[in-house]
Amino acid sequence: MSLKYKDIKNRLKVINDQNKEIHNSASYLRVIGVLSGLGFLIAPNIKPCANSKIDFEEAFKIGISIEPRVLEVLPAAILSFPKSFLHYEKASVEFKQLVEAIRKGKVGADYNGIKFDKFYQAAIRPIKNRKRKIMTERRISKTFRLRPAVVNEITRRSKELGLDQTAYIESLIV
Amino acid sequence: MSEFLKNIISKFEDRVGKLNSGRHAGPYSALKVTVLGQQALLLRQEYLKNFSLIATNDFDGLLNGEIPLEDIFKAILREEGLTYDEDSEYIWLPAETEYELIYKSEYIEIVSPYPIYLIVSKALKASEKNKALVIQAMQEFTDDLLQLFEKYNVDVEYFLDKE
Repeated sequence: MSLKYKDIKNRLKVINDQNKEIHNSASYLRVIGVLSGLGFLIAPNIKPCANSKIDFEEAFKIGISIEPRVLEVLPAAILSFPKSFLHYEKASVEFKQLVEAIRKGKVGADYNGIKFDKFYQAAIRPIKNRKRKIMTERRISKTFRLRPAVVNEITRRSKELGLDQTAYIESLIV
Repeated sequence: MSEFLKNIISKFEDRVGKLNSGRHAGPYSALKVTVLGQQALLLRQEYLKNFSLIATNDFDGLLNGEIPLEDIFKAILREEGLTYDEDSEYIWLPAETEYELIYKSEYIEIVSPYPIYLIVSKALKASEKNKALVIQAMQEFTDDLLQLFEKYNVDVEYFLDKE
């Protein structure tokens, strides 16, 4: 360790004072409050506020500058509660690609030193918020143009098995 | 102890008590839970009141006990919005880590490393994610922590660099 203890202590104080300022800022409290209110973070000392809306850039900045856990859950929160994040359209292309990869269940790139799997796990992890359906339980609407005979067959077989048609098709694949 | 943990313990003891009462082979041995990671720091909120502690919903910890009790514990975590991290066994801790007994009953024993050892682990293995936290800890536990950092070759200057 090339630095002397005294130098370390002096530098620590300066950095800690700067960090403290951010931790006590309205912006930090708002971002953490929303994410904990929605159920993505645990922050016992900050008042949760699930119904507030925050600016995407504000949350992103906190995630990049001081609390990477915000960045880790941000894509999951955006996917589940898009209306809570204003001006998401201003996000970078890379960040939007990350969110899309999670949404589609594809393997995406790591982002800002956080492994893709961490982002994905945050999106599929159950949370204590009944308004949110986890990614793997969500349904995505798809349209297929099938021959009538195939449609009749799907109807007949799903009835035989006592399943609805979606559940029957899923059972053939998964 | 946090209200959150009290709630988990209460649910666990209630369920295991019922399970044990109908079991011919006798009661299950107590489940030993070693709480690690950010949840372990949250357990010490009162002690770490100068820290800005935030956690995601995953629960790092080691479970030592019989499978049905481990399953009950994991299920209760899920009910409380947490997911047990199955990779917890790979979490590195310093060789000299000492543990604090948080709670003990006939059904469950909860222990956790003292925060200083958790900070060394975070500083060495997940420095980027824990930069602000490690800086707070360095100011709180200065000499003891810096000695451990020196022993385990933690790059102190990384934490002191202002980006």
